[in-house]
Amino acid sequence: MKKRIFAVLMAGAMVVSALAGCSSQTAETTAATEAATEAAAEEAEGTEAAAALAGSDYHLAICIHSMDNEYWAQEAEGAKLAAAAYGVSADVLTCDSDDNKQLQGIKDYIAQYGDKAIFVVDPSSTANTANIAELCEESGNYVTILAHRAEGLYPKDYPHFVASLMLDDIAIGKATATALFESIGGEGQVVELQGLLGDDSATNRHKAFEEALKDYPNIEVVDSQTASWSQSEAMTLTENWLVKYPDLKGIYSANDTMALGAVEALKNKGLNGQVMVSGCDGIEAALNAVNDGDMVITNANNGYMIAGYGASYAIQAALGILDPTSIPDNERLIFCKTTLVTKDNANEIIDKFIKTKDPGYDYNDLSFCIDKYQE
Amino acid sequence: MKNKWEESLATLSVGQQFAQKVKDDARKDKIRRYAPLILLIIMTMIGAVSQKDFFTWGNVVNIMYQMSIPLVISVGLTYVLLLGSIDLSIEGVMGFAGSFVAFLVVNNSNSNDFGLLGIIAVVLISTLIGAVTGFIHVKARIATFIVTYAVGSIMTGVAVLVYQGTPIQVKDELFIVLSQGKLLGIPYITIIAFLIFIAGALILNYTAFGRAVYAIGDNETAAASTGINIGLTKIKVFALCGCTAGMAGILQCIRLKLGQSSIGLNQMFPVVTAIVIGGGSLAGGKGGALSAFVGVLIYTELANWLTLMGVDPYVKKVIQGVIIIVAVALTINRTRKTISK
Repeated sequence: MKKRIFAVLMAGAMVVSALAGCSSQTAETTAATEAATEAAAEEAEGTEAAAALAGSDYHLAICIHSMDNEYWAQEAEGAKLAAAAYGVSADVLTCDSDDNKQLQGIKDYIAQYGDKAIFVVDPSSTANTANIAELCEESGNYVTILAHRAEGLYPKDYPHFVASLMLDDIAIGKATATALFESIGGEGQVVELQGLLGDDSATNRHKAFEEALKDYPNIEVVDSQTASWSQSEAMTLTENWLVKYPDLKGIYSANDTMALGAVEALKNKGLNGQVMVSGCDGIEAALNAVNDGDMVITNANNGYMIAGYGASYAIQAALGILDPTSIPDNERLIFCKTTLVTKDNANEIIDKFIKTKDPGYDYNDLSFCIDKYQE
Repeated sequence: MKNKWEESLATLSVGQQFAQKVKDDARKDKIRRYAPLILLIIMTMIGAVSQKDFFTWGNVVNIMYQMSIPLVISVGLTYVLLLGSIDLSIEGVMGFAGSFVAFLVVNNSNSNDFGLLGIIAVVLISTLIGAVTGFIHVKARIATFIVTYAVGSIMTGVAVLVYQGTPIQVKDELFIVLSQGKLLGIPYITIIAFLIFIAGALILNYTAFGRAVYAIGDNETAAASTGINIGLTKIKVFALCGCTAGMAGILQCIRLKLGQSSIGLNQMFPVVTAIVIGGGSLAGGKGGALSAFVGVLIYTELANWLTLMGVDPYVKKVIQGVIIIVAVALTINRTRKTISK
């Protein structure tokens, strides 16, 4: 008897958790649909009315890792804005960086909406990009893949893989490192906080740091350690470095979270603003730190841009506005624009990305997002 | 040829042999008990000799500061491991506590200003979460491994819901004072952590509750037969672990000034390892507050020393792994018949 009660309880708990999962998704859908309706109403006066109506029975799946990260949340927001611009409803599918979960989410979405399903995917891993492209090609759904692309995977081989939008990690890393070196007068002791060992972005940003170093012979890199993207680990490392290197001038960090850890360690010693820190990603706290002078530079990776325009590419293809096969092959491999943030433009970026949560992009103009083409 | 041991066997009666064995075990046990302490001393000496900065006051303060949060986590976890259980919800509870406390005190995203009251509320909620975890474990008889994993996952989710994806920045004056202030050169966070540790150690060593925890870990059936309320004790232990995990989350938030679920990430396993290095056992019944302290200190010193040495990050991971295995191999009890559980 007792066992049975617990079985019922457990079953109840499972149902509740399943419902919780569903309901959050439903809420997202409703919100996006509302936004879409609003946008549709606004645009009904304009010339885009036809397109907006045409999109109304299409569904965009925004496949991201999770909402537990400002950049991913920005991606979701950006893609929703783009979907609203075309009158397409949008759902956020999270995968918690699990390849199978992401593929399953995409399959379920196709099963639900058939050829009316459109995808914009920040892949769970680089390796998974090939599976995603195959899957969408087989079912005939348009997809753009963001930020990662497996070696040898090209949109030109897949009519439905509309485009690959990436961030130029090397150029970004080089720019932040250079700004850091310039801020300390091009000489002195510097340390590097690396991201998670073995991670693509971590490897690229480390490479970028080393490339930037070549132009600055008087910069001495006294140590380079990984803090695995963690603020706490970065803070601990910085505390230890400050004991060993009292003449430390600068800290290059592969992301903002670690940079903020370094800033906290510096604050405890009253050295913030004296030892320069550079970050990358453009999370809110880091933008504020740049504004306060605790960090010298960061890069706003701009999820609104990459995911918003990524979604636009796929939606335009699905609505027949854009024919992917007619675009030159190399122009389907895009490096997206990002923005370097220093004290000069920090306030502007905070207003656009954080306060209004709408940078006001025209998602119909695809060329706007293109910084350059990938090699 | 008979060796000396066999000769002595031949001349001893069964009773004498048994007495001899007990005496031998007691001696081995004593060596094992002091092995972590010896390891700590050796490591400290190596550190002092190899790095001139290792024994500076600044670095000693650093080590004390860096061991603070693991130490607080270790307080509750020691009790849980003594029972032979595990609490995988610590990281989730820490993340929740850090996120929620950031939400309640002065911050950049809302107009809350609950200050100390907010801190107390979060500690109480964390304690309650621990108690519920213990209750489910005891009443539904689900293994702690599963229950705590589930609770941890729930709390991580709740944490993210609290701040909606954008970590809350703490602007509370109290937090800034607590993170940067010092008393006689020792950071407040360290002092708070040590006080929490001392309280945990006193409860474990000088109360009936503490003795019950040891008794249950050693032999649950025997403990039950002496009239100890096993269920209630276990619920109390998990409540205590939730409480210290919550406090660790708040301290982490004080340290980092950013409330997000990831502040609990990768915080638990190092402490489990540290406790085992200090002489605790995952099977329960072995270890205690002091051995946890020694373990946490060894672990923190090691990380600190490797950074000061400027060891390559890849090599660092390897060295850490090797030292953990060596340390545990030195301290573990090999007289058991089964190899592991």
